[in-house]
Amino acid sequence: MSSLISLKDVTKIYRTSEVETLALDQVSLEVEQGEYIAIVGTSGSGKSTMLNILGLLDNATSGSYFLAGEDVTALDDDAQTQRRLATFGFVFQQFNLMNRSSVAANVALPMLYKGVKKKDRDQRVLELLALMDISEKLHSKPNQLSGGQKQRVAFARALANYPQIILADEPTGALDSRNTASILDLMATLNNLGNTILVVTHDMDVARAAKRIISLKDGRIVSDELVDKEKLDKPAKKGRRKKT
Amino acid sequence: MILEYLKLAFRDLFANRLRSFLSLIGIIIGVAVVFVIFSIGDITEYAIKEQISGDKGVIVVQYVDENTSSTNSILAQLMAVTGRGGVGEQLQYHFDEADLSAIKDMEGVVDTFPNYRTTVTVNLKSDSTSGTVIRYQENLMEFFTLTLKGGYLMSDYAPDERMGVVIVDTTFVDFNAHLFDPSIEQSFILRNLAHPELYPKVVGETIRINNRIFVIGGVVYSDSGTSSMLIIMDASAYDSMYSKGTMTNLSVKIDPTYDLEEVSERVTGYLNKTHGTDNNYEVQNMDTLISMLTQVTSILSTVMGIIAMVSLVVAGIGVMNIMYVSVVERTREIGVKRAIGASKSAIRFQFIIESCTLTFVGGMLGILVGIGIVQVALYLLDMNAPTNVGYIIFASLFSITLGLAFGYLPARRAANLNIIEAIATE
Repeated sequence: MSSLISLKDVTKIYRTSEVETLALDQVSLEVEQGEYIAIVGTSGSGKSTMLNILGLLDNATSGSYFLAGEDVTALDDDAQTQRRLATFGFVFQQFNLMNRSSVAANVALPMLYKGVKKKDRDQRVLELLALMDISEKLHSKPNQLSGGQKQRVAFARALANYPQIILADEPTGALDSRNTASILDLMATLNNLGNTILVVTHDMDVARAAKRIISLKDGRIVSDELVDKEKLDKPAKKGRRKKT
Repeated sequence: MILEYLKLAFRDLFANRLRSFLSLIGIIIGVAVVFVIFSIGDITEYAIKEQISGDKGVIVVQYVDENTSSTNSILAQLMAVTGRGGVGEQLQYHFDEADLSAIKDMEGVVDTFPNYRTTVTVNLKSDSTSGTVIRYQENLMEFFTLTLKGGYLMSDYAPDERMGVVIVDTTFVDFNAHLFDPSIEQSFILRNLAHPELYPKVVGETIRINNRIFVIGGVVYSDSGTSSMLIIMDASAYDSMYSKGTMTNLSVKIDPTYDLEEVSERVTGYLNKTHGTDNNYEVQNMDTLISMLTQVTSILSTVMGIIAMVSLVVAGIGVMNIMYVSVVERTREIGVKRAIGASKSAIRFQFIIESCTLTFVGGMLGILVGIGIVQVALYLLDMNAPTNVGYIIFASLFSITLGLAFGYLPARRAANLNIIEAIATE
């Protein structure tokens, strides 16, 4: 059986009129169903580029990308949108909720694009908000919520269409440590429920919460190792406690 | 799905109420003008039809010189009826007593009335006004279905008294009410306010026509709509002031049980035969008047149409601009939507729906303004005409089309934004 995600020699070059930037340099990667992976690296290491290519928001300059066994490298925009809708749930650092719409409408939006019936959408929204433990905020506007609550709404939105993979770009970057902890707990719970999670972060505490850490530097994978829970979990937690 | 987009579009419009309204002013004006143009054509037609049906049963036979164009003949008529200068030479007397009696005896003809009319300036109190002097004949009251509203009929006066008496119609009294009674304010709108209380009071007042003094002896009302500022003058008084040669046409009343066209043809046929003329006698129908009116309204329509088109194009560009601004403002939102699964067409659709909603609202407001203008005009002109629902439908479809046309490019830009760059936008 093929991997859920398979990158082979993926290179991404950004070209402006004068400069060529090598963002990814022949990166290969396999991701299996149910994994919880942190992609770490300094800014400019190519970790966001990798996430964008994985999420079909951007295309590789060369190399191939197989998603659930299908070569998605050369698909057109509509087909890629289709895969994105069916396969991925996105979570952003700045939450990126629609501030004019209610929490419920935000969570329902991806289902609207997928063409889910209103009755089913409403049902799913209630289900997700209950899972995120923010059912009482159903009719609130995003700007009435705390950062942690906003990110929970964002996770609910990401999960709306039963995605195979959740792609989170610095999901705790805009949160305080207490909310960071609660989002890490949430991601762990979601992973335990069977969701595949890829999280981009430069915060090692967040990275250690994952099961596998991939380090990038200058567009190359410099390390790719499984996290030893017994060894790493405790100091990580201790570290967070100190901050609080 | 569409409903949800509509809801979003409305929410955005209301979030930027002032901006939306400003960008809509052009569309409101354009659509209102288009609506008014359509209505003018309609109302003209409607009014002419009403006028014709109001005179039903009475045809006017006139003599038209073939050498003069129809416009000239109207001009000549206008000059003739003003009764000034040597116009009598231009229009000779084309009807004689024999014609009158012969036509009167024709099958289907009820009565004839030779039209001796002159438009005059009337001195009333210290002011001057105008009116149409008409030469009295025994059958005048009956022919034009006039009813007495105050004072006496011409026939009530002794023959020697009649020389100094005129009978006026209610329009004349109503229109000059402020002259008869200074406590009444002059009405500047065309719609005359009726002043029935004045009708008996004005009897005995004097008016001066061509420096001759006449006493108003009675007030009459016509329910056929033919009377307008009429001053009925005794025949001998009329003849002493204006020559008989100013009779420009002949009114013939036709029995409603007969076919109007058929009897008309018989009358003109007789006249052309006995006078040895080649179709110079004809029934004055509204054709020339209609063609003149149509000419005037079509020029008006063209000018206003150009204004409306320019206004709509400018408004459309305004809408395009506002949509571009909206796209720029919501770049990040668009990027996020694309990331969470919105296709290009979904984004395009969203923005086109928004621009169409915008222009549709503008169109609706424009129609309201247009209806308002038309209704005020109708009130001032004292006319009635039904509002054409077709135009409302047309205007709404048109404004939606405008939204499509001018919303497409901004919508396409929104759809083609680079997702990553869009999300990274602050």
